[in-house]
Amino acid sequence: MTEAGRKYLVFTLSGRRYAVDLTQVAEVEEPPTLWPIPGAPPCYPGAMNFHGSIVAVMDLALFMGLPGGRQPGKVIVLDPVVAALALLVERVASIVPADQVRCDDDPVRPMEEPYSSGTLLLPDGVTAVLFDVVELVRKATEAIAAV
Amino acid sequence: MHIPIGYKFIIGFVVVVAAVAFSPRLVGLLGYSAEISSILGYVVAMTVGLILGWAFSKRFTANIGRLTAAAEAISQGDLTHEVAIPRSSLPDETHELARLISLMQQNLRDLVGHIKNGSAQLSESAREINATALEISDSTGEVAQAIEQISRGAETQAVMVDKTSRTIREIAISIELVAARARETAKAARETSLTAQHGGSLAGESLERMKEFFDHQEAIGRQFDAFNSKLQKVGKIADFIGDVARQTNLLALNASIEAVRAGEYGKGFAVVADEVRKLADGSARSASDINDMIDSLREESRRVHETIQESSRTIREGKKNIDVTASAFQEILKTVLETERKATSIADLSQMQLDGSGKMVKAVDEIAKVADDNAAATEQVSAATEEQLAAMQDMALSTKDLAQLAEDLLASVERFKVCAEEPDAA
Repeated sequence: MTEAGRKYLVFTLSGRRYAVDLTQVAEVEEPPTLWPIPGAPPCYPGAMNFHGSIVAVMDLALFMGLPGGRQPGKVIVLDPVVAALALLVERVASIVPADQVRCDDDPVRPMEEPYSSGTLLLPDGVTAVLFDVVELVRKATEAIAAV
Repeated sequence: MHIPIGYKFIIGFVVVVAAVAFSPRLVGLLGYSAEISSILGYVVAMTVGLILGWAFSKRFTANIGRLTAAAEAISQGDLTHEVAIPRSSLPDETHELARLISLMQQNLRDLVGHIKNGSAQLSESAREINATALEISDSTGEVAQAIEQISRGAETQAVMVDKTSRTIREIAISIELVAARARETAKAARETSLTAQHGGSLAGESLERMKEFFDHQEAIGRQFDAFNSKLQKVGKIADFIGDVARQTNLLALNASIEAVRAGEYGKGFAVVADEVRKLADGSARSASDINDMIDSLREESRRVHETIQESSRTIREGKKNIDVTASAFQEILKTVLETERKATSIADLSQMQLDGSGKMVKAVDEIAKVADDNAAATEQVSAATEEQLAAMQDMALSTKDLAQLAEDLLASVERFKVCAEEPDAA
C-alpha cells in the first residue's frame, strides 16, 4: 500500500479527536449485543459476535482513563490480523485520505497520550491524535494478563 | 171776718174824728171858762186825736213793719225766720201778705235746698266727669301712642312685605332656574341612559366576539394538535431518513474500509463508497436539519400556542372585566333611569313651586296693599285720636269750668240761710 493510498479513520473520545490507520480496521458497527466477560476489567463491557468470531469489546475512553459518559457510540472492529478486539468509541467522524492531512510524526510521546504515534492536522484545521494500535493492543494484552 | 185794711183806716179815722168832735163837749162839761174850755177842748181833741191816731196807725202798721222785716231778712238771704204776725180776729191784707211771704219763703227754701243739692251734685258730677275726662284723655293719649306705634309698625310691615315680595320674586327666579337645571339633568340622564344602553349592547357584542374567539381558539388548538402530530410524523420520517443515512454511512464507511483492504482493485469502489458516504452524510445532515426545523417549528408552535393561551387567559380576564362592565352599564342604566325620573319629578315639582310662588307673589302684593291701607288707616286713626285727645282735654277744661260754675252757684246759694237744721235737704 502506497503512502498516497493511505487513509485514516477519525473518531472522537471525550470530544477529542483520534485517528487510526484504516488498514488496521476491519469494520465499523453499531454497538452490538454484548455478552459479559467474567472476570474481565471494567473497561471490557463484554464480547460480541463478529461474523461468527468472538471479539472482545473495550471501552477505549475508560481504558485510557478519559472522562466522558458511556453513551452508545460506534464500535470499531480491528483487523483480526492485529487483534480480536473491538473499540467502543464515542463517535466515528470520517475517513480522511492521508494526502489531505499533514502528518506530524512525534517520536516522543507525551505523557498524556501514551499510545500516540503522531499528530494529524485535519483539513478542517483540527488536530487528531494518531493511535499506535499495536502499542494499544500490547498494553491491553498486558492489562488482561495482569488480572 | 176779713176786713180790708182801708176799711180799718176809715173806721179808725172815724173814731179819731169822733173823739176830736166829742172832746170839746166833754171839756165843756168840766166847767171852765169858755175860752179856756175852747182852748182846752182843742188841746184835748188834738191830744186824743194824736193818741188815737198813733195807736191806730201803730196798730195798723205793726204787721206791715213785721212784713217789711221779714222781706228784708229774705232779701238778705235769711230764710230761717218765720213771718210772725199775731193771730187776729179781724185779719186783713197783711195777714194774707204774711201767709204769701211765708209760702214764698218756704218755696225759696225748697228752691235753695234743691239748688244747693243740685249744685253740690253737679259739682261732684263735674269733678267726676273731669276726672273721667282726664282718665279718658290719658287713655286716649296712650291710645294715640299705641296707634302711632301701630302706624309705625304698619309702615315697617309695608316695608317688610315689600322686601318679602322681592325675595319671593327672587325665589321664583331661582325655582325657575332649578326647574331648567332639572330639565337639563333629565335630558342628560336620558342621553346617558342611551349611551349606557349602547355601552351595554357593545359589551354584549364584545362578549359574543369573545365567545367566537374562544371557539376559534379551540379550533386553533385542535389544528395545533393536528399540526404537531403531523410534525411528529414528519419527524419520524426524518428520523427514519437519518437512520437510513447513518446505516448508509456505516455501510459506506465499511465499503471504504473494504476498498482500502482490496488495495489497487478497490480504488474505484473506494470512490463510489466515498460518494455514497458523502450522500449519506448529506442525507443525515438534511435529516438533522429537518429534525432541527421540526424542533424549531415545534418550539415556535409551542410558543404560539402559549401566546394564544396567554392571550386567551388575558381575554378571559378581559371577559370578566367586560362582564363587570356590562353589569356596571346595567347598574348605570338603572341609576340613570332613576335619576331621570327624579330629575323629571324635580322639574314638575319646581313647576308647581313656580306656580305656587307666583300665587304667593300675588298674595304678598295683596298683603302689601292691605298693609299700605292699614298704614294710611292707622294714620287717619292717629289723627282722629289726636283730635279726640284735644277734645277730651277741652272737655276736661269745660268740666273744670262746669265745676267752678257749680261751686259759684253753690256759693251764691250758700248765702241763703235755709234753716237751723241745714242738712235736711233731702
